[in-house]
Amino acid sequence: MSRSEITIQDIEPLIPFSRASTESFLTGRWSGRKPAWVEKTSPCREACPVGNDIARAFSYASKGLIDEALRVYREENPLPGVCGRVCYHPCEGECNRRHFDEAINIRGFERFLADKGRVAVEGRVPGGARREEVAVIGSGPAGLSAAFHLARRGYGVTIFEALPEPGGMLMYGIPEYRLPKAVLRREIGYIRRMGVEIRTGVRVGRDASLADIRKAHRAVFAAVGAHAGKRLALEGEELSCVMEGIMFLRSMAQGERTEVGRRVAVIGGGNTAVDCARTARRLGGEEVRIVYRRSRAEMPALAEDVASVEREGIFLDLLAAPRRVISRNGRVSGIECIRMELGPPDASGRPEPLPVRGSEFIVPVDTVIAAVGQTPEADFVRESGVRLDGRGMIERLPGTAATAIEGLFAGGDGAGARAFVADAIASGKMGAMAIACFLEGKDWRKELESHRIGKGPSFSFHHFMHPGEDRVDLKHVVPYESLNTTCVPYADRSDNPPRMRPERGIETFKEVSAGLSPGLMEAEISRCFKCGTCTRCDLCFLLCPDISIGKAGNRGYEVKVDYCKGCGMCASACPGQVIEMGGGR
Amino acid sequence: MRQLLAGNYAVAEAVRLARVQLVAAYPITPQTPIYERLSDMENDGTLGGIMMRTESEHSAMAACISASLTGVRTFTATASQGLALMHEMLHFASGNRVPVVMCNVNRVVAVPWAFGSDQSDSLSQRDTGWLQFYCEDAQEALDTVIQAYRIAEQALLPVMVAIDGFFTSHFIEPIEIPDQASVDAFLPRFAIPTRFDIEDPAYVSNVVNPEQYMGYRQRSFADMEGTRPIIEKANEEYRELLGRGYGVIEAVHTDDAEIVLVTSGAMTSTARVAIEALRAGGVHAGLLKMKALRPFPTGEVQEVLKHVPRVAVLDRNISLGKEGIWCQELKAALYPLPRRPLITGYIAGICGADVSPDMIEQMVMRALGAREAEALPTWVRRGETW
Repeated sequence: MSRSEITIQDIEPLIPFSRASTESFLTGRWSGRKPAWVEKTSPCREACPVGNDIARAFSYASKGLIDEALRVYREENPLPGVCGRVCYHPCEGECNRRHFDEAINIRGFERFLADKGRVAVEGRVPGGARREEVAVIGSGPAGLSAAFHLARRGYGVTIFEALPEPGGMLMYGIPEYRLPKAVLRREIGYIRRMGVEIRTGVRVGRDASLADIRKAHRAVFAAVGAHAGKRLALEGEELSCVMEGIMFLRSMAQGERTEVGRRVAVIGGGNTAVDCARTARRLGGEEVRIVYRRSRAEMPALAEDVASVEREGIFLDLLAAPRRVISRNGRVSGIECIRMELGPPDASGRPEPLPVRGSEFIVPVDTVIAAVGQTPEADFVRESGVRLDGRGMIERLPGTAATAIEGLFAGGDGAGARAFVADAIASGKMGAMAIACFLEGKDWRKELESHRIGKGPSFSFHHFMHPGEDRVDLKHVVPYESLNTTCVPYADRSDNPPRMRPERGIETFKEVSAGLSPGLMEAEISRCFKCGTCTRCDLCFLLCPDISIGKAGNRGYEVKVDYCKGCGMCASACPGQVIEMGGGR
Repeated sequence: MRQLLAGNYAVAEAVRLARVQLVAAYPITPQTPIYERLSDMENDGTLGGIMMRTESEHSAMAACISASLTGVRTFTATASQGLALMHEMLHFASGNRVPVVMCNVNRVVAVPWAFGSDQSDSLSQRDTGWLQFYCEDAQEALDTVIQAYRIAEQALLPVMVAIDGFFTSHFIEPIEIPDQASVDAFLPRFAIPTRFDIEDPAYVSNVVNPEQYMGYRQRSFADMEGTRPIIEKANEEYRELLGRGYGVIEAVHTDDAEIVLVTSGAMTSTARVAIEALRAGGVHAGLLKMKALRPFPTGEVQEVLKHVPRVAVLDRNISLGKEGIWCQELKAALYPLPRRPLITGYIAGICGADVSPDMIEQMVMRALGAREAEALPTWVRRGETW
């Protein structure tokens, strides 16, 4: 008997019975609207400069698959342990859960995965599968990211690093209490194990020429960072107790215990200034102050880091600008400052600080640390014909990672990228794809559009690597309104707890914040809506009144359109808008 | 054995005596005591069958249908919203030709939410293909449930027995409970064909083509017509064996009547008193009690009323946009008569509102004075002029 044959057996002549499969009745043929199962993009991912597939990682973690969740992160980002600690987490600012109660602690989750998950590098790397060799100059977040993604793509990669240890600002700019060196070294170790060679102590332009490197490599990615501290340009700056912030932090990282006086003034409002102040406090500074010319709202440092500053007893002297450093007997004795007020927005879009006439005042200090911005040390690229812009940044062709010279690419904050770790990683990833496209004859712009996440700044390297296999609709970002939160209980967000009280924290360089406990992490994992990612919750499967949703293994669920009547229950019930009503059959 | 019993308990006794094998139900006022008493009986072993506690009336009926297809005698009881929820499955029951017997305790249908007696719940299930019998009192309910199994199983059609909420379900009356041997003599123990073999399952309620569908419907229609002699014979044999019987209608003082009052359900008892009072006052009033709604006793009604000039119909229900449902049914049944009576419709006792003998007398007297047919029914409410 064929499956499509209908048998009506009148056991009694009164009612019909059938022993054929009811599948022969294609009862869904008369409905015009059908649901479609398509995984979509979460707003957190769209906001993430690195493009981490956050919702998918949460989905795996919700099933206890921590290693798998970490693998998802590492498809886009080789430094989750770093980002899980120091990222400015724009993801949390777009988290759909914030419309419900509070955003998820996404950064804490990334740290949890990096700390608890197991990374399996071996066996996954095509290492040297392609013959082209690529050089990366600089082993900061941009360089490491570019090298990692190029190695995944099969290219042989060599990193040239001027300093004794790789990591760039991650190693020499971010203090131990925010980012333990062990975490960074572990993640760099994974990149090395993928076949990336890192040559430290090689300053390009001094120890090796760019021309030679270009000769030996088909493509070069310059990610030199911005390690030269800007000068204050004030009278008295040449005094020995006036230090430059980046050098101050670097010498700490290198184990040199720099002496600071009892009273320390740090000039600037960015993360470097904050880190200098907190470091000075740990070195015994009793009266540490941050002098910043705008107000708190304009401080480039993360709000939570500014809050830590205050908890550690550091004074914020806002709307104040230094005029000169005062000395007595060749030693710093104070700084003369002037009060500022905020005027209309300047070129940076922020209110311009304007001095208040006659408001000069003197702050007695023993040490001054200038943390007013950095510039790259990129003069060496000039020999190749690449120009530097007015700020000393390597000039790229507009909107690309390429420079005017074929085969020479640039990224990171040495090439004008935003000076945050995540943006540097993103910049390196962009460079990796640009180089891959250059070497493989692909249209870089087309690829970027095809793998771009939503309308955001980032693209998915996983999508680039596996265009046929990764079926997520990167362009469809799931809005809060389309989620089904009916059965979701309200629950408080769990922040990463401090490891110790602030008064103990300033006595040590140990990491200030602790990882989330497994219990709290589990609560955060279950709080996450996993927007756009199918968690295999089976609601569609169980609620379909016509048994028209089937399980399709790796491809989630399939809609049996021949039987589906288009009622839309699956789409209404779907917690993450993976299923939605689409067009016809 | 004579015992003081509320109507609900009398129904439970009938279910026990009928040796029902499966009771699937969900409690609802005012039916719940049936459910409770059957539970007690299951617990003390006097109910031979099992009770299945379902999550809804819809499921209760589905369970009865399935069990009945495997040859099991089934019962359920419900009321009002429960019956409304069951509606879809009522069609499945008649379509699957299962002899399920149900007691519906008439209760007003929401909204507004209320509890009193009102026949709208079961009358609005008129076209679901069930036989429907309306009982005047608890004794009739007990006897009718037992008869219903005999009728249902011979016709392979489901039967609904309706009693008035509270008036019949909760009033305590002396009830004659038959002995088991007499009921067994009347009702064969294994009378339901096993049509569904669970060892060789098939799909029931399957899709057919239009020609087949129409064939099944016509067959069911014919079988419903075929229940008329079955009902009559069941009643006759019941009367022989157990000493009581009820027709599909009952006519009282109709032979010489200048007006006949038509009633159904518990109000009939009150109407009997009113008619006797009118008779004592010299009015030639008669009473026609309607028991069967489906199959409708068209011939019997025509026979009783063909010489009667005036008829008053008392409906404890209302079909918005028309009139009382018994009144509509009666008008349709009498239309073929060469001399049709003048019919006056009354709506009274909705939601269990009081209908007293004096109100009934007034209704009869008013109808007696009618000169022409009224298009709409008259609402009779205590304390209001009508």
